[in-house]
Amino acid sequence: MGNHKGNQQTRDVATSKDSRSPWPQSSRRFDGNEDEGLSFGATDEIAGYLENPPGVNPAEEHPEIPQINCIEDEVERCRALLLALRGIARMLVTPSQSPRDLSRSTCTILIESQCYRCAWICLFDPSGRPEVAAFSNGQGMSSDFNETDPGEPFPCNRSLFADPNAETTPAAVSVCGKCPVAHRADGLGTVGIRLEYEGHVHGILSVSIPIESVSDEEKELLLEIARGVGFALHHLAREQDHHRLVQERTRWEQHTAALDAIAETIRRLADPKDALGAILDTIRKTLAVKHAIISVRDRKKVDAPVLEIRRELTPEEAEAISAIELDGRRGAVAEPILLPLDPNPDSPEILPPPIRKDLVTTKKIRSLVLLPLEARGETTGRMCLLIRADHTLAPDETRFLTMTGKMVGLAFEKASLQEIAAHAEKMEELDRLRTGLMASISHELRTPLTSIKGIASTLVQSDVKWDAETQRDFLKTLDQESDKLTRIVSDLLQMSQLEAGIMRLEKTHTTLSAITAQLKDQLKHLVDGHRFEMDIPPDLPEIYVDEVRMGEVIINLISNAAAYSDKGTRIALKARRDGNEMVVSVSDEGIGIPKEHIGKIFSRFYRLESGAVRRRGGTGLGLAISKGIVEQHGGRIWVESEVGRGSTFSFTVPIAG
Amino acid sequence: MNESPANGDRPVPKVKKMSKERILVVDDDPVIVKFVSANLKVRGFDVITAEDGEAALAAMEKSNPSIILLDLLMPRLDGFEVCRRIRQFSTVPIIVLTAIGEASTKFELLSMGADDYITKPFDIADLLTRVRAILQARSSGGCSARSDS
Repeated sequence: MGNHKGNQQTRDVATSKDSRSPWPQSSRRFDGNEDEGLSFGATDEIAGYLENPPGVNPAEEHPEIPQINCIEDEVERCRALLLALRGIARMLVTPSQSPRDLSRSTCTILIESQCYRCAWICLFDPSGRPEVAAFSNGQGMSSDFNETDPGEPFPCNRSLFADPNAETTPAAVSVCGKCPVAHRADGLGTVGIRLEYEGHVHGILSVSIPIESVSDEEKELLLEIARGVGFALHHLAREQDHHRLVQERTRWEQHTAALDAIAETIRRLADPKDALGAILDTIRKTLAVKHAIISVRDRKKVDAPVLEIRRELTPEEAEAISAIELDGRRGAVAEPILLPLDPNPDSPEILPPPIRKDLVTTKKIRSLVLLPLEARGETTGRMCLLIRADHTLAPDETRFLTMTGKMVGLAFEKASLQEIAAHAEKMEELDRLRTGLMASISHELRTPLTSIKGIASTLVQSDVKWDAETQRDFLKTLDQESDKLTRIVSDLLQMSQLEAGIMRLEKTHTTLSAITAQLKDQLKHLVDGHRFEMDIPPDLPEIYVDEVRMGEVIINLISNAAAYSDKGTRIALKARRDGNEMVVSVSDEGIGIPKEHIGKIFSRFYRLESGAVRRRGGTGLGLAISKGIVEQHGGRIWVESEVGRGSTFSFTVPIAG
Repeated sequence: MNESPANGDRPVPKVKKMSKERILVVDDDPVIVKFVSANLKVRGFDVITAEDGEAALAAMEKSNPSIILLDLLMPRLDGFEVCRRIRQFSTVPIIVLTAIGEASTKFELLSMGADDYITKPFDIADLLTRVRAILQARSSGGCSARSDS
């Protein structure tokens, strides 16, 4: 409190004043009054000096009644003000109010304690922008004054805020003519006081007051209130700053951790679908968003997304969100775009009405945050977070989203680069395989060609005359070698069909016995000289296969068995059921297959080194083709073998139905 | 077989006083062995055959041929190894007869001591010409290099 003048005098006056007394009346009017222990000084002391403002001695200089009334009025106001000050002081120590509530309470106390008919506080935001945040009501505000949206601060408040050298004593500010107080005509004016602390202005307190009669004491009291409120506002701002900093720091830590996790996800996961799913979940968790989607589109095929990851969204919602046109809404690269889901039916539709309605009412979504995803300078997809009505994104969260958008873009880039690298590697591998295959094919074709060329050129030689029998023998060999060439060519064709996946299977419901019955003559020829045993139980279930191709597999295996085993040894064809499969096996007592060859014998042109197969007319493709046919039927083929003891080739066929 | 004079339109060098030169034909393809042998026999050569590398080395030891026609890709012991081993104790002319057409293989075999290299498929006249050329060169140049007697 500022004024300590005239102690002695005050005491005297107070004593005299008590006896004639508007004070008891006043004190009865206010509840806050009862607490005599409050620290604003002894009532009598302040009341005394209020009654005797410096330089004014009402008793001596203004003895007239009106003068006394006026003084009494001032005293009354000061007393009310003092009580208000106590109420405000008590209110200020109440913890955790918002600046707005604090301002409102201050004004309310000022009005209710009947100091002033009208009081309001205009708050400014901490950066100093004149942001009008709170007004208190009071009787006498002009009718067009809207408390919830006061608009621009009044010129008086703005100038008080802007000028740090302005008098801190209450200044008459009603001169602008835009004062919201309606009753200037009643002889009242407006006084503005800065609510400041350590040179920082938080707002302006304005009261409606009979300006002519304001005493210095009243000014002092108003200043005291302003200081208290200013300090409280300052404290609140500091507290809020601190709170915001703590929150921001916590979020910053969460964001950093999330970005780390995303980077790790991108580094570790090769599959784009897994990676994007993990990234989306990290973002959802970090920003506490439930509904989200990432959709990726191919530049060439715009109609359907190549990849879509949605969380807590129906396919229809996902589709509608993916279809939102971004052109014209785009900001900078990878900048999130906020699309409010306006319940106003006149706003432009960004989603089909039923979907929008469902999102707004059922899922309580208020806005969409769309983030274009870019890779190598092109938009390849988008991420969309659906923000609920009770949730907002802070600026740092938006920045976090921007970062993640860029990282997802990088992930795409990495994925596409990996794809390119994998493709190149595959092509290289294919090229190597093709070269190897060409060499094998050319070698296989050369063998019968050598015989054909050799025999033909033999017959052309005119220096010798061949007898008819030799000539016939040569021609017969020519014929056989041509057949062999044909067989190799058709095997190659079959092989390439199998590899290209274009071999057509003409499947029918049949039995293994039916197939072997059709092969009877061929089998008899193949196993000629061997002991052939066939064990196919008659009660085996039906199979659904291409009879001709299955027959080829059996012929291939039996001709191999015959080629690699001595005459007189046993060759057995067996079949049995094993769960949902039928297992067919061909066993021989031949030379067997050394371990190092077992992994390779199903490859093209892979032969155990022996002329035996050639004598049998093998093309080196039999096992590779058999494997292809079996696998195309959904089965497996394998071999068990022991060198010198023989081999057993087995394959499975799924049972029909 | 009977020895008949060259009377065709294809130029087959004539070898006078063709003694029964012995030729070892090594190939795992029986058809090739058959028609090559027939052609050589009909022109007065003595022919022995082997269907793999080991049989070739055995025949070499037993029969002392004047020339070897050697396939490369064979079971048990391949032509490369056969050539290498023969060169350790003999300078008998070796004509490689193979489906491998690569220049590098040809160079490898020639540097290992093979005398000629014919790629399959081949014209029988070509083979006969080379056989005769090598035998003629050997007989005119003497047999100083031979050490297999």
